Amino acid sequence: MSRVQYKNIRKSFGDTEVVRDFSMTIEDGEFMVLLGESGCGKSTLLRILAGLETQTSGDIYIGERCVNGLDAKDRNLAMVFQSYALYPHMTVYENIAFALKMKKLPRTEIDEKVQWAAKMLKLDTLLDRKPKALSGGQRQRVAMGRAMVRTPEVFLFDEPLSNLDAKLRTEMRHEIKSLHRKLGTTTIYVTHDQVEAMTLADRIVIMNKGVISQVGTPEEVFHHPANLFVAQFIGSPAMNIFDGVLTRQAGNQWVIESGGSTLPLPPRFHAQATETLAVKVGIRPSDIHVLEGASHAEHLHPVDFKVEDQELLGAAINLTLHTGDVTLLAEAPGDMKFAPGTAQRAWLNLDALHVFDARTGETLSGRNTAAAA
Amino acid sequence: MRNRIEALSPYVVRAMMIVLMGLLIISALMTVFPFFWSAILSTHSRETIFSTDITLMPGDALAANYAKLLEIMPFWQAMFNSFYVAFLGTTVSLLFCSMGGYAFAVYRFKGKNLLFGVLVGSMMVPPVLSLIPYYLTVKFLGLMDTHVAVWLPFTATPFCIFLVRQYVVASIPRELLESARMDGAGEFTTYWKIALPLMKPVLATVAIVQFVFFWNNFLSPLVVLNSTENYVITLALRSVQNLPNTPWGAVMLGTTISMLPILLFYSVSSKQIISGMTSGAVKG
Repeated sequence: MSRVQYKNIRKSFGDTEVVRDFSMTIEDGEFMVLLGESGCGKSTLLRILAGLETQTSGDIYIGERCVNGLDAKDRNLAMVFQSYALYPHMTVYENIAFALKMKKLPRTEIDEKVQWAAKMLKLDTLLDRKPKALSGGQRQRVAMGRAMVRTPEVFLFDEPLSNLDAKLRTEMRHEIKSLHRKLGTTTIYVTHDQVEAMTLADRIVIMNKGVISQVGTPEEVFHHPANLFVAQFIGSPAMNIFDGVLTRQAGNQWVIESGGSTLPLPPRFHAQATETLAVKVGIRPSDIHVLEGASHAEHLHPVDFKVEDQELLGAAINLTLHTGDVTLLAEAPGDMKFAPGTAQRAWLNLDALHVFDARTGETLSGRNTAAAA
Repeated sequence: MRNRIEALSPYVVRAMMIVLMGLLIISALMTVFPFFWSAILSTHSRETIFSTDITLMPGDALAANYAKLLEIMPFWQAMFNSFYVAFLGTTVSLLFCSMGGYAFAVYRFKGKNLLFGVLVGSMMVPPVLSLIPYYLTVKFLGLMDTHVAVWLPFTATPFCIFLVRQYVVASIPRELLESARMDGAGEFTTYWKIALPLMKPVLATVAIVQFVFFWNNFLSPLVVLNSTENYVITLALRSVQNLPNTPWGAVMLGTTISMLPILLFYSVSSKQIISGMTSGAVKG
């Protein structure tokens, strides 16, 4: 178990720079998820830490030790690959024991550890099988067992669940989480799946084109996205974004004018409102209410829409609402009825409104949050 | 194509099949005949071989031919030498070619593509052209008239390295080797414990190709071997053809016996040879 530090890491492949000045500390025992679209450099960062790629510049520390130039085999990290990378010619037992044999541990100790891991991962009846006789979920478990027995300083996961079907993925997610709870090993987990990131992480690093967009707990990145990219990336269905202009009205009141309607600027943005500014406004579908009952609360702002379309998902309805030149997606309870073309009043939760500088994409309120991380 | 054949009447199709089969049988017979002929001749004496009647029936001179064979050359010594050269050469080939192919497939190093290009290009050069340089090299190294000179230079062959390289690229995922490195295996252990066991199919092909090559090799032993007790079988059989009144029955007997190991080898592993030859091409 160890703290991991990336210090000013850069990595280029030929002329393409995939990681640009990445610095980050992962605390001892922390579960850190690197989240981003494919090609954003997240896997490269993991592979640099593992010693499978060499950074173009910058330093990597594991614990107090600078590991630049140290061979992968000497870093004492364990990695679970997307393809599991099980040795096809070895049995499950031999697969799990391989790293221990490399360490030249005594036979009895190896056996003890393999049995311990196999029991923990419910593999004890499969130890004599070859990987090709296992299901996807079982292979995944063997890959994890192989990492576990090493008692490595850090666990690395490179999109470990992408090859599984949806049901197994949920199951394995829980197992990974409970395993981390039991073992408490520092873990770095790379994925492009935000659900995995939200459910597993202590902290999430959201990457965009080789740089960090935001670092924070799942709650922070969901409720206080630092910029447009994070706002749109996290959450499903995605956050509504529309253009607006921040304007001062009589009596020093700041409002956002958009598509013919006017929204009062929530108090937490007041400090930042100093001049007329083009902004992007974001609101999650779940923060647009169509139920009459909620209308009295002060932070709810009524807007009259026209219903464009509705999509029944079962428990909820995805409602497409339209006003002026703004189209928004709202979430309504599944038992309500809507007819396309009819008028519909909805209440926007101003407490959950996100306002971003249209030019930089940075939030107007959360600058402090981003800086603190 | 298939539809066109189906459109024809069954009789026409049948007739075509018969013609095709007939052609195949004739060409198969033409291929097999020399082998069969040498086996038949090995049972005949010189007199019946050169008599005007051509016979396809076995004669009665087998024992005499065998005695003659042992008299004119150290037959079993030559057979042993051939086996020795082929065995050592094949074993070392497996090591060198698997290492070379693995390196070309896995490592990134400067000049790799150029080197690989030269390697593949050298396959186009007719072997006869390299005979004189080969002779000079062997002479320079002081290896004239030794078996090492017959097998060692042919243990790292471009074709086999190419074969292994293609196989590794297509069939051994990079992640597997990376996983081994993360598990604490060094370069050699990764090659030996992870890559090598997975290369079995292509190694079998390399073994077959190389064994057959060494067994059949005539040109290089001819150039470097000169004492009779070092002769490999191809050389030994050729050498007695200069004798006055060549005992053809004995020579044919020797030829027939020398073919047996290869035929046996092939009949056991023909499936492997075919699958190995195509493995790199079909996968990946």
